[in-house]
Amino acid sequence: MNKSNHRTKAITAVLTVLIIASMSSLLLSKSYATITPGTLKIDGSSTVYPVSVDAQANFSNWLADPANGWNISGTIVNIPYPPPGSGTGLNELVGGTIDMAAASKFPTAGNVATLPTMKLFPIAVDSVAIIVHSAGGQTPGSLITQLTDKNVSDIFVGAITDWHAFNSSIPIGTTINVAVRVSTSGTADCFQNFFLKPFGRTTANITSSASVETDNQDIINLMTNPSSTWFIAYVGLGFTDVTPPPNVQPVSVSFKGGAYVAPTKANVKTGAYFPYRYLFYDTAGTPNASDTLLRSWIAYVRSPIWSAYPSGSNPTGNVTTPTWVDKEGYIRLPWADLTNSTNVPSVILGGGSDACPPQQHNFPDQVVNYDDVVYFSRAYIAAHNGGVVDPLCDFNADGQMTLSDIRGFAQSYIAANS
Amino acid sequence: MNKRIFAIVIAMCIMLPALAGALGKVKAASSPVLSLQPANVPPRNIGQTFTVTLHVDNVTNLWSWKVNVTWDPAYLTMTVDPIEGSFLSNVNGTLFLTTPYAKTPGVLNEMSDTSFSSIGASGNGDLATLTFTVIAHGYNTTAINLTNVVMQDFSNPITVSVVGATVSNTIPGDITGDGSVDIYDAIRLANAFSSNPHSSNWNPLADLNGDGFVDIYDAIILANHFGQHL
Repeated sequence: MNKSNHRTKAITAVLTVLIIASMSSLLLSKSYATITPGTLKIDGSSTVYPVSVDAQANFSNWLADPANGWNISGTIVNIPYPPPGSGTGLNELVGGTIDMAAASKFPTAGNVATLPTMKLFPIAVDSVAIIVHSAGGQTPGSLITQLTDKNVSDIFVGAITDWHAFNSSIPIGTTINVAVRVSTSGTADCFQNFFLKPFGRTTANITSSASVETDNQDIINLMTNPSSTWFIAYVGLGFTDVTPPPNVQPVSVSFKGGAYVAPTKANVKTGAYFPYRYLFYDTAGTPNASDTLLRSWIAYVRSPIWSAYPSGSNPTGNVTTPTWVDKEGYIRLPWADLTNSTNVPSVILGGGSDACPPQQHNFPDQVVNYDDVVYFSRAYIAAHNGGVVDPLCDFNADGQMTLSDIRGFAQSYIAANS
Repeated sequence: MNKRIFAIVIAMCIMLPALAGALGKVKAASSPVLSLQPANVPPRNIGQTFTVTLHVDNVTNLWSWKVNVTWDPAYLTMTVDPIEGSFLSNVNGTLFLTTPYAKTPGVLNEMSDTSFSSIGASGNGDLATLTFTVIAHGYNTTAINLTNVVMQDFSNPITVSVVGATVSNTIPGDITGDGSVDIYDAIRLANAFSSNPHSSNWNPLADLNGDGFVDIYDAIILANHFGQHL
């Protein structure tokens, strides 16, 4: 009789444990149900700014929409305007005054030294386009449709100051007006890497007569002004590739003596147009379990499943759906395209700030294949052996490598190859 | 004493070649081989399916593998996804992925399997099962090839020999390969009747069901298709 009671108690205890365990797993599986209202402050790159603003309204609506299962209101994503640029955003992150820096360049060695726990979450690839003013089809417009990388470099450092040097039909003495971004901008950093450094120059060599603009939109405002004749500038590719603004004409460029190539997304993807740069959201460290707002924002923006627009839509699961990255003219990083991106972890570990060397393509190769399978598997194993979680593989940005990341990778692999 | 030394020398002379031969055999047996099994698939009716197994022998610490499979889409088609074998998954959790079989007719790109542990699998075993359907007959054979093979342990590549499969794509019973099943095929089968691969009259083409014997069951297959032609 006693034995029977003991057995009954034992079975009851085992069943109780199993039921509690199963309920716990059910609760844990709805990880996003723990999202709590709060304020998320993002500042930095003017290139990333349009993506952030697009996602801002949708993110809040999505969290507040009962149909999506969250029904959480009161979340505020604070994105100050005007965006001060990547360098300032990174300094603010290091200084602890913002939650997340939007950046279109890698952090400096100084940034990483001060904040060694900094994590970079790449969201897209962009490039830099050389643009000239084109009021009435000229000024110089159709008179200057292509330049070599050396021409561009010479113009921006003031070694060549007369448009006549490039087209004899332009009167002698037609001064080249130059507009640039502030040197802390990510766009300026990319311009420097691909148009100045190959010729032994830096942004410090930019001609003193150049008009210095704060952000990409200021450049566009200047160049679209009909009175800004004979101006040349550079701007993030996303500001010209979707629909070139009025009075703005992109210029084809010959790199290293090669063919003239138009600055388009397609040409950047193939590597025919050399300049490129990552766009990032940077955080002070790997978001931990309590940073639900930070985690959900990163996952929401990076994942094509969650960030499908227009606003308010439920997750479709369709990874080919355009995202805000597509909408703003940038190159989407295939979600599971992990290879050829080893420069990111090296920077995280303090490997240097100049991870965008001139004339070298090193961003993900736009192909999700076996190389990515191996990369992902190694990252998974490393994380489960006490190593650092690779942010490239942490698809839901929860600071862990779990079954949901494996599922995310597999879905993206299959979608990319279908 | 001299006799003993002489006997030892004689014994060593006899043993060394045998020992060398044995060592040679061991070395040959230890080389990893990736193959499709069976290597020879007998003729099938149109619409009939068959499976081939991607098999590995003599491998050490296999952690990840990838292979492309190609075949002639004029004769064969793949209509179901490949199924992961037990060799790698028995050791650890794995990430088994294939690109869609219908993306490019005749090509399955990047079927791969990778362990979620740094520990690999050793020995012999099945990596995957592929199912094909016969969609047309021909005059001889068609091949299922393995290309772009990658095998690696956690740190290094593994060199592997690769062997594909040959599928007889004739009408079952067309032993002569002339596109018709007729008296000439019956004569070939009769000549090979009651044979096996060790027999002097063995003809593998007459082994219509691929069981290693030419017997009444092969004769029944021929009889069922007698008179058919391309």
